[in-house]
Order: sequence, then C-alpha cells, then structure tokens
Amino acid sequence: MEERYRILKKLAEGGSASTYLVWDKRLERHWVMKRIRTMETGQREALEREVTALRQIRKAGIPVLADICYERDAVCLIMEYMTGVSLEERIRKGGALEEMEALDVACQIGNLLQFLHGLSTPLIHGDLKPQNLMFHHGRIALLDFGGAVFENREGTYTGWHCTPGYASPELEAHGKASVQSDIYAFGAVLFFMITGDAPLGPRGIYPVREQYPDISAGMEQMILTCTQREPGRRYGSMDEVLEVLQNLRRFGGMQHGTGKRSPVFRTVRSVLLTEGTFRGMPAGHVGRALLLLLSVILSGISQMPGDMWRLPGSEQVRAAELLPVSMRNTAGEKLLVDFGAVYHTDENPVFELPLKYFEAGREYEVTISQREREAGILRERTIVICAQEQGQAENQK
Amino acid sequence: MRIRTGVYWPAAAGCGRNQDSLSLQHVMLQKGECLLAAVCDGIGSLARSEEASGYAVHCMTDWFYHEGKELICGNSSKEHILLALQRRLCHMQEHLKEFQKTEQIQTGTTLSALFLSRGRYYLIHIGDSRIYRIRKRTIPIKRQLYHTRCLTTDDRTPEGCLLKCMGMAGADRAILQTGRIRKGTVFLLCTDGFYYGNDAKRLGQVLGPLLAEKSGWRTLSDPAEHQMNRRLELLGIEAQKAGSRDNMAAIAVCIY
Repeated sequence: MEERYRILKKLAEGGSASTYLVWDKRLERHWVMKRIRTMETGQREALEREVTALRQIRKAGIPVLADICYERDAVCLIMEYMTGVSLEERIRKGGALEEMEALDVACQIGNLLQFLHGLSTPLIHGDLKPQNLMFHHGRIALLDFGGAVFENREGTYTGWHCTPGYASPELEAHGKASVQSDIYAFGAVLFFMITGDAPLGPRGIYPVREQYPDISAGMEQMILTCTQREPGRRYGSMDEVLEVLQNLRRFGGMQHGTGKRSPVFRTVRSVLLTEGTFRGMPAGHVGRALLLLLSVILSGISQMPGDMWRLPGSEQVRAAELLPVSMRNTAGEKLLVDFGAVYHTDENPVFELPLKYFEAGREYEVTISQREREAGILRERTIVICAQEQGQAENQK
Repeated sequence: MRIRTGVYWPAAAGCGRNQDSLSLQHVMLQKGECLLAAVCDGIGSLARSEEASGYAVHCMTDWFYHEGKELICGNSSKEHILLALQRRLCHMQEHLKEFQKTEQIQTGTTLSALFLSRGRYYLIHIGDSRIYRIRKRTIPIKRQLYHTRCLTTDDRTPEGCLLKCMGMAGADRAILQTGRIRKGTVFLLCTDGFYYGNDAKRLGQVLGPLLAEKSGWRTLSDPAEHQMNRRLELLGIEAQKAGSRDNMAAIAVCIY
C-alpha cells in the first residue's frame, strides 16, 4: 500500500477509524483513505456492509470506492476525495439556513436517499446526520456508509453506529434500520438546518414555529411528520417526502397539502391608507359600518406574535358572490388586500363591512367563521345587523 | 438585498378627510422580495377627489397582487412589465372617465408609484407628487454625505396649475421608466404637501442615515421601521412649520 499511496494529512479521527488524505502515486490524484484499526465483530460487519454498499453505487454525491487494502491490524478503504465543508460546520459557523435554502438542500439529500432506497435491493444509510453531509462543489454529498444495511436482509445490528438525536427510536432501541429510520433522520437533519439547534437538545425536536414564527406551517408539519415516534405515522417513502418537498418549494412553503398555488411566499407588509371608497363604479352610499367584532372572537389566536391563518381563497367563489370585507389593524391600516395570501399579525384584526351592502330596514345575519388549517377545527359566531338610514339613526338617538 | 419601509399619512389640520391615499405592499416571493409603493393626491379643487385617489391606489394594489406577482414569477421581461403597467393606467383612466360621466362630476388624482422586483425599479408618474432617490455619496461633497435626486418632474405650470393627472387630461402621457436598483438606496414617494418646504438636501439629511441602521430587520415588529416612520413624521412636521396646509402621504423604501 505504501508503494502506491502517500499519506498527506489526517482529516478526521474517530473511536476506531481514522481518515487520511492520500496521494495516489500511480494515478497522480488524491483519494481519501479510511483506516479501520481494530476489527471487532461489530466493526467488521459494519465495514463489510460499507464495502458491499459502496461497490454497487455510482452516483454523483456519493463517494466512489476505488480500492481496498488490508493491513495486519486494519483495513483501508480508498475512496473518492470530496472537498468542502460539512453541513454541521456550515450551520455552526453561519447559523441556520433560510427556509428556501434549507428546502433546496433537503431536496438534494432527499434525491440521494431516494436513489439508495430505489436500488434493486433498497439500501438504508442508517447514519444520516449533518456530519455525514458535505457541500462538495456546491452540491450535497452523502458520506460514511458504515451504518448502511440492505433492507431485505435481517436489518438488525448492534446499533453501535447510532447517533443520538438523528437515530430513530426503533433504531436506538432495537437496532432496526428501515426506510422509515432514514426518513426520521432526514426530518432531524431538516430540523437542524432550519433551527440550528441539535435534535438532542433539552427540548428535543419541538414544533419549530413556536420558536421561529416566520417558518412556514408546511415546513413545521413536514419535520413533525418525519420525526414521529411511530414508524407507521411517518411518510411511507422518500418519494412521498420528495413530493411534499417539491410542493413546498413550488408553493413557497405555505401551501402544504392544499394543492393550490399561490406565488406569495410571505406578506412582509401590507398597508393601504385611503378615505375614498370608490372602486371604479358609482358609489351609492359613502357611509361604512365598522365592525369591531373579531377582536373578541379571534383573540384566542391573534394574541400569539406572528400567528397566521389563511382566509378562504377567492378563486373558489366568484367575486360577485363574495361579501366585500376589509381587514384593518388597530391603527386603521388596511391589511386585507389579497384573499389568497397569508397574513401575519400580532394584534387584533378589525373587520369592516361597507354599509352600502345592507339595505336599510332589513335584518342581515353575518356569520364569521374561523377554521384552524391543520386541525380543521371550526368556530363560528353569527351577528344580526339591521342597517338604518342616516337620518333615522340620528332621530333615535 | 433587503427592504425596509415606513409610511406617513396625516390629514391636514382642520380638514376632516385626507384626500391623499397610499398603498404599500411588500411581499416575499420565490424570486425574492417584491414591493409596490404608490401615493396619490386627490385634486382638492375637484369633487370627491379622495375617492379618485383611493381608487387609484386600490387599482394599483389589485394590479400588484393579480398581475405584478404573476409577471415576476413568470420571469417576464422589463418591457412586458412596463406594458402591463401602461395597460393598467389606461384601464384606470377609462374607469375614472366613466365614473365622472355617470356621476356628472369632475374628479382626478395624481399618481406616483414604484414597483421593485428582481433588482429593478419600475416607476409610474403622473401629476405633481414626487419620487426621490437618496444614495450615500462615495466622496462627500461640502459635508453632504447623501445624494438626493428627484426622479420625477412636476407636471404643473409655475403658477401651480396642474397639467396632467389621472381622470383628467394628460393621463396618456404618464412617465413610465425602469432602472437598476442597488444596495444603499432610499426611495421616497410623497405628495406635494409633504415636500413643501423640504428641499432635496434636507430629505437626504433626514432619510439618508437610515442606510446606516441595520438592526432588527428580521422581526415583524421592526424597531427600525418605527424609526423610519418617525423620520417621515419629522419631515412632515417641518413641512407644516414651513407653511404646508395640504394633506400628506409619504412612503420611504430603504434598500440595504
């Protein structure tokens, strides 16, 4: 081995294995040499798994296994040298990723896992974590197949390779690897990317929007689904995960599972200040009724900073059938402009109905309904309004 | 490139209604941040001018949400966007004319709007409201740290007679232009009541330092945004002290 490879520097050192950068004198190129020193039973099995797995794989983003060398007390794997920074290093130094960037990286990881799971005999990586993901020429590369296992085999092993926080509960408890355990690890990596917090922190994997309200509900839902304790409650396959990811990317993170397209990713600020009610057609009445109703009804959801909800899509009902309603903040600034968008608010919204849509002397029932998007919980309140002529109202006073 | 905004919209003293209207729509699209800012000054000497200015800002806002964002997401060229804005102006003018005919009144409004997206600004202007651009000077001249330039022309005679406005004459000769935006720029859109007594240099002095403030942009209750509102308010008070008796509407857009 020494005749062919010259060790240049040590890249990393673990409990039983060291990684070196080596120079191939014959081919005149760099390789990475993974040298496993002691050969206990578990390690030998892991090594054999890695060799078997890597031999079969030719895919960008997964290192090519070039050679195997045997030493007296160790085995050396010669693999493709992938330069770059690991995902962990990147986040530790630069902080959590923006949502769209995280989605982009997640799609790349998802594609690699989908490839592994889609092999004739599905290959489970078994040790997906930020340290094993590297930005190589701007693309994500998946490293360290020491925990890899083929799904149709027994799928059970000692579990010495498990990384707490990223290993699924069933993998940690019983050493059982499956597509679902990779999906769990994928969710934990996504959580780490978006929050910068380790999934093994004091709170574990928490609903991310409690801490970071500007993260989309779709992203939060995806992380929570991936990291369910019960494998059966997670996504069924990486195909399913990728489909959701693509939807999140296309719809900007806000439209998880709705199937409707809205290019608005987030309303940063929406203000419309005017005292003119004219909207391009003759206006009969200029008076308006201010209905300060929802400050009571919606107080339960609107007191949380950065809370958001989605109003019924205008595309579902023809415009002529809709009751015109506008939404203002307590300062009187108009908030509601587009029914298809998601509005962020940290104060009570005020809803306004123009009086001209109420014929004088008639009674109208106005029903306000509030539906929580994820759980579908519906709450309603009905108010009866009787519009009066201006003169009539003054006489009554 | 990040955007921060501030608005100011007080009614004139002793005037029940503010005939000026403004709209500020700032959204995050997949293609990046996108913003529409529009100020309209209803012509006070004409009937129901607050309705005309209100209609103009509503109409521009509708355009932004229904056509503007689609154009951005569809990677439309700048020529297409300018054409779409021109179409919307024609549509507004037709509606206003129709309204005047039905109600048998005369009404009108100025319109100055700014559409920012994908590193470009698109400007629409008709009337005597103004759009200023404030930038930091590379080399300060005579202690002036900021360079302020008015991007629009006042469409009025020296005697103060308005030559062009929406709903009346000259709407077909609106100014539409586009240009590149760069970091470290403040755009100010304001009506005549606001810039009265405040020259370009003073506007630069007050709004220019916003470019140096970078804290707190990420939170929804942005302290820097309150700072922008306060600076606009300061300029508004100065205009009143200088003798402005008109309604005011102003929007500041800081790109940093």
